[in-house]
Amino acid sequence: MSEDEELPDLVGGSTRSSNSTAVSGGGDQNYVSPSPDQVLENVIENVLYFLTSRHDRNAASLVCKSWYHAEALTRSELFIGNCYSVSPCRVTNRFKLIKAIAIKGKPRFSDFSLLPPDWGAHFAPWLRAMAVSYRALEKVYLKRMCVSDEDLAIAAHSFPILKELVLVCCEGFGTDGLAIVARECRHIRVLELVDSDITDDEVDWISCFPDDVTCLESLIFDCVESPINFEALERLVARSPSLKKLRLNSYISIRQLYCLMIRAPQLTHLGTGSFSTLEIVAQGEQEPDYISAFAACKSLICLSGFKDINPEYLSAIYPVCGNLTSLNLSYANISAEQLKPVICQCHKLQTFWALDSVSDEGLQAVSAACKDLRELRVFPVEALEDAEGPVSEVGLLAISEGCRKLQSILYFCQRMTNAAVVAMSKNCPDLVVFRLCIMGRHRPDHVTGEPMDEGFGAIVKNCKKLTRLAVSGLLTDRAFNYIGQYGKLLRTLSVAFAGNTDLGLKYLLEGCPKLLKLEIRDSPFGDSALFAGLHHYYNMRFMWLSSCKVTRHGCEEVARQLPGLVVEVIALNEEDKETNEYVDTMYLYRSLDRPRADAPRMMVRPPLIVGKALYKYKAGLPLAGLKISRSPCGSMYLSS
Amino acid sequence: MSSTEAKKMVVLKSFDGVTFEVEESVAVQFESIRHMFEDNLAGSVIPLSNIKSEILSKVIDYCKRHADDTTDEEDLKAFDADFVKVEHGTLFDIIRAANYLNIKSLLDLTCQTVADMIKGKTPAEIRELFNISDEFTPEEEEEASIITRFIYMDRYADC
Repeated sequence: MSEDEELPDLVGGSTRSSNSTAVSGGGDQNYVSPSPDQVLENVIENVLYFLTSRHDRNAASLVCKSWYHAEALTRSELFIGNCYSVSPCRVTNRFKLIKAIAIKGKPRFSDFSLLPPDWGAHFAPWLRAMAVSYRALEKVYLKRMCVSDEDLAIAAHSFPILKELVLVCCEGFGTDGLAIVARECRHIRVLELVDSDITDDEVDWISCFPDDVTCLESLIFDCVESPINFEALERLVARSPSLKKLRLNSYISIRQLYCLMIRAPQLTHLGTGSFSTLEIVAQGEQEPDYISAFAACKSLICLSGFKDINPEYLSAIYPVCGNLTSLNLSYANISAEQLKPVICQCHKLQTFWALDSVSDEGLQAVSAACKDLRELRVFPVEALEDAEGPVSEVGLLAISEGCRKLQSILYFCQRMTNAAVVAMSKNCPDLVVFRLCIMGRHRPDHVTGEPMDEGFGAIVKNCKKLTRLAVSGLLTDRAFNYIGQYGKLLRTLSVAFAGNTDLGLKYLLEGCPKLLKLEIRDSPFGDSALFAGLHHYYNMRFMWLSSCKVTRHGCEEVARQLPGLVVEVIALNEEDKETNEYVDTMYLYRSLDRPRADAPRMMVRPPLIVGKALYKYKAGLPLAGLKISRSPCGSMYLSS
Repeated sequence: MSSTEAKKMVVLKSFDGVTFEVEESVAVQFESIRHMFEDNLAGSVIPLSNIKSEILSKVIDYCKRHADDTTDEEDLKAFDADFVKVEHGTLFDIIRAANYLNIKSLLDLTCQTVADMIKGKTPAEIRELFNISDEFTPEEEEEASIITRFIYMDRYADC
């Protein structure tokens, strides 16, 4: 405590800072006027409360030591972009008053079975450190982490005021763990399970919420693939007056949905569950009035679900269409004819996700109706490499002409032209995210037969705000030359089946100064391209190269030259490991601390000679299978 | 507080011995010393031994203006904007005084002002602005910068 407190009966307590240096003594004899920067030291904690952007906080923390400490003491939220970039105890040593933490684990390509299942990204080490240091933790957000039921139990006990638990693309736990969370976390307001792989332990977890009124605001369990005790859910919804977001799983029928909506007309976000009649309906039985149930939900702005849709019921949502800002039909296999009467009413829509079953014609209807659209995602019903898919350059062109405010697009198709992509680059200059997946490999412009270079070149050239790009189709080094030349704000880049020579990757590494995340598969980039990025790897969150032409020696050389880097070499097949000239997968990232201790058990050798670490282990999974992720960050690449 | 009590005066003394007579209706904004004069100690001198008279005078000015119910909101905004147009050293002294006296609105105003100066600047620019010396060793700087690069604040930063 400072000398402030020398006036004990005067000062009840300073508001926030306690490190004022003023000297007192009841008189004027002792006062020493501090120099301006000393004074600033004393007030910086107060000032920091007013700095809320990441950029400003980070800059402030680097001004000098006292600011660094003050910043650490006043930071309440943390985002760890790669759970292996820093050890948990280093984080808990520096930041003491954390209330919210977000941690990301596996690289995104783990969504496509390109990582061994036991690769790591365990929440447990983080939890152990946090359980001791962050008793006041209120929010936990995890993405692509392994979380066990035991972890959930420890979290429930260690964070007595936990209010938000969000698990995105996580795995390792089941409904047993959910039951513990429901039972123990008395302050839980947000429980969101998104695209997570959750084991069915045959536990009635919904019944485990306390019997009194809950403070639930958001309950999302659409990825929980197990039956739900509906009566318990109905009672839970009825005693959750603050519930605003509810996303149901496919075991919930439209009749049950009706019952829930009647009880919770205050909902703003709704995932409908199956949106079909799962029960056997007796002949002549009266159907509930679904239209009036939707009409009563006047606050509804975000609609998703439709997991097993009966399109006949779609008219039920007409009353809310005019208010919707977000509509996710990415599970609804519906035709253009079925989409049109819905979409033509959705004038306020900003986010729209659909399946390609809506075809180019459906996208034309979107383009005509949704003038405020910011984000569009079109997923394939069937990810076929060699087929005439239902969406093409026609749909893309229509969207670009009708939806000029578009900022983000993810578009799966089988056919595309440079002309359509160029048109989008000109019509939608606000694009921040452009992810075009032309399924099948090395597909040229299907009209001209040319590579897709000029299309993607136009995107990086004309869309000045672009930070995320996924390229596909037949691409030569020329496309990468464009990206290196113009992609100055690019942070995330995904590449598959593209490029001719090492030059392609060199252009990227030398030309894109902000590149943070680079993931490349099945492209002919080798060691000399790898060495071209030595100046930049410390700045990156990660780089992933799989099925490229990087050798083991190349990986070792990078690790040797950059000792702060962890270079993981992953062999997918045990037999191949000695014979293959090229490594299957190289995953490199900067780490402040020692290499992780939880590399898979199947590691076939101790860490090799170089740098901080070089692992080698085999994977159980073959390089196969296709997964289409509908997670917020999902995309897809084809595997053979 | 009733209008008959409004004229009750409180005497504050700065570290350099200058006394200020302040209406209690103004002084109640000094949260941390409020109990002093509310405990019938009004009339006796309350020493504020780490606030210079120059700063105390400004703080009192601020509180007077904010205690005046007749000032309209626009005028008050203009007053606030003008109030913080002072040298950095003075501004920091006011923050310290506001913190010490626990005057929330003044603390918010002044801290927001400094925060606005910092916004968008690099560490080097901030050092230059406030004449701060950087005593990081290269190793510390390295750790500080990498940890800030990898540990962000906003969780949706890159989704």
